[in-house]
Amino acid sequence: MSADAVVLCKERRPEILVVEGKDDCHGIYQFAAKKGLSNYFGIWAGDNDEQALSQFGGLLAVRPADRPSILGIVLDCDTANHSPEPLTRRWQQIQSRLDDRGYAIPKTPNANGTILESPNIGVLPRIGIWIMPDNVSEGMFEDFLLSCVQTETRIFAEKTVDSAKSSGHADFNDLHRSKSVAHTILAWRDEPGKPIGIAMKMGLFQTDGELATTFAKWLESLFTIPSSETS
Amino acid sequence: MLDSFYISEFKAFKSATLENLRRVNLIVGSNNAGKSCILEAIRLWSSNGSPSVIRDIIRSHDVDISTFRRKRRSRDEFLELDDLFLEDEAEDPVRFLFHGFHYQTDLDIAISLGPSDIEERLSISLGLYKTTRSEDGVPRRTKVEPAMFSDYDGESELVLEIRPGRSRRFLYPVDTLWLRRGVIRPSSLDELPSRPLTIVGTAGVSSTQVAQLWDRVSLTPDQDRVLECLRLIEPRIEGLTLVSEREAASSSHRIPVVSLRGEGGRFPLKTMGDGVTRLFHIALSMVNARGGLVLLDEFENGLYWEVQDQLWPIIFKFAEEFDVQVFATSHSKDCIGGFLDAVATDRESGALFRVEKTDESVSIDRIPTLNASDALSAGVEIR
Repeated sequence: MSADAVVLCKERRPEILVVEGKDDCHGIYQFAAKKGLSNYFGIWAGDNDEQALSQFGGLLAVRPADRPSILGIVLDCDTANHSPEPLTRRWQQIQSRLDDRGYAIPKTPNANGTILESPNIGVLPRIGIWIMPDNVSEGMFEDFLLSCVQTETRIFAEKTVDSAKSSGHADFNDLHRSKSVAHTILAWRDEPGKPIGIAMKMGLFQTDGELATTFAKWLESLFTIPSSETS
Repeated sequence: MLDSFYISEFKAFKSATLENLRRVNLIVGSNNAGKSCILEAIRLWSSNGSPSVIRDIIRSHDVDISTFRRKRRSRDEFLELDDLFLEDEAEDPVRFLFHGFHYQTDLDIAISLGPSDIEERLSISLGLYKTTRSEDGVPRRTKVEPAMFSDYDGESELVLEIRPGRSRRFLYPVDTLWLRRGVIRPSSLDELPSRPLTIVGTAGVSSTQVAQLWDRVSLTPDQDRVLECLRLIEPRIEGLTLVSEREAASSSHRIPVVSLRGEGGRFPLKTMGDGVTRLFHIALSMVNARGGLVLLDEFENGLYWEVQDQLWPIIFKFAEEFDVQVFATSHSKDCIGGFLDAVATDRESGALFRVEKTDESVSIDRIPTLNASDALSAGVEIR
């Protein structure tokens, strides 16, 4: 698993999706596999959001011949800095990496996931941007995962986690509440405590809900449709 | 300031543009990718197409001009048309100026260099001219048309047509470039406004040039700025002057010496290490190019990375203060890193370009500096 993980989370190919952590890498890879999309792109995982942004920006700086033809990024909408608010801040961070290149960048992210066609095919990649969980709300990859869990189960797990925190049994950072909830739910499965990627593979998340379908559609249009058909 | 710089039909360049130039511009790429060629193009443009610059550029190819002189002489003695085309002209060093040496078959190809404003571009082409005399004996050059070598009748001569801007043109016989007594500058060139330009080559600045540059700033506030810069590497430096070398006291050859705090006597600058000398050349060149251009070829030569990190902010500062536009080349990762750190405080102040050899030409790719910084921190190779 560990040797595979290295290749899986830094696979150099013309179609690359940059994500901000190993859990996201494995989770999204298994999600894509369920949707029959995992062969269309490689994933690069940064250790954190800053590194993922650097990988995303850095891949735009390599020689045109070595540049990806399609470059997507999935980031959480959870920046600790609240001025400006997280979604705006995220959007600005991504936008600054695309400045001066001729991309038609909308003012705000598209709720169905943003796709920017290449202004210069063969030189600049098509760009895809997804801000977890849903391009609108504050949150992270785990909030997306929680949308793939039965509502009753999720609410129960949230109550449990909140009660653990308020009674002094938990010391997680409040920013990571949904991460705690997601792993709590995984701790209650038949094989407790599976990592997110494996859990996704085992079918512990439902991937046919509204948000999951929108995300899958975004991945599909980003990576599987040739440029000529979208322009 | 140059807003952009267009290079066409010049040496390795078929056609390429440095877009959106800034005050400080760093050009990166592997060895022989064409970085220095860009600096030559800027120098040539800035000189308004000066024949002595043309000769310098051709000489940088290690062309043995003395051999060529002999050949020309023998050609004059045995003027055979076939020899002329098949051998002599093929060897003519002026071919090094033109992309793909096209001039041999097509005289209409013109080198074009300069900013986006076409009026300010320099154009250089070759033409065949005949000299005739009018009735009162005044010589007059007329162009042989169509300008193809096959029309060469042995009486016309190969002439450089140099157009610094659209409205002026002067003609310069190619043979004159190789005269032993040196290059004669057409007087018409002197009428053109010259742009200040200084160059720090890969091997630095010649001692004659250093003496000229130093004399211009000696005892002025600019001299202090140069010393300030040197103290980055050697904080003990108090003063600097140029003295004649002891062995050749009568010669005009002068070398920089410094006085050091807490030490008696004076010390040749070169004993302070290569870095100090390099820094001296760079600082001296910058303060001497007020309102003009500075070309730094292989910026990092002789400089440790710590010094590069300290030097870049000074270059940005000096460039602003002295209203100088800087063009530097490098193939060092440390150098790029230092540049990117310095530009991060004001991304409008610097631009990064990558040059790369292609099959037929050289491509120039402008890399947004934030993307380049990203690449460095993510360990992605950009050179």
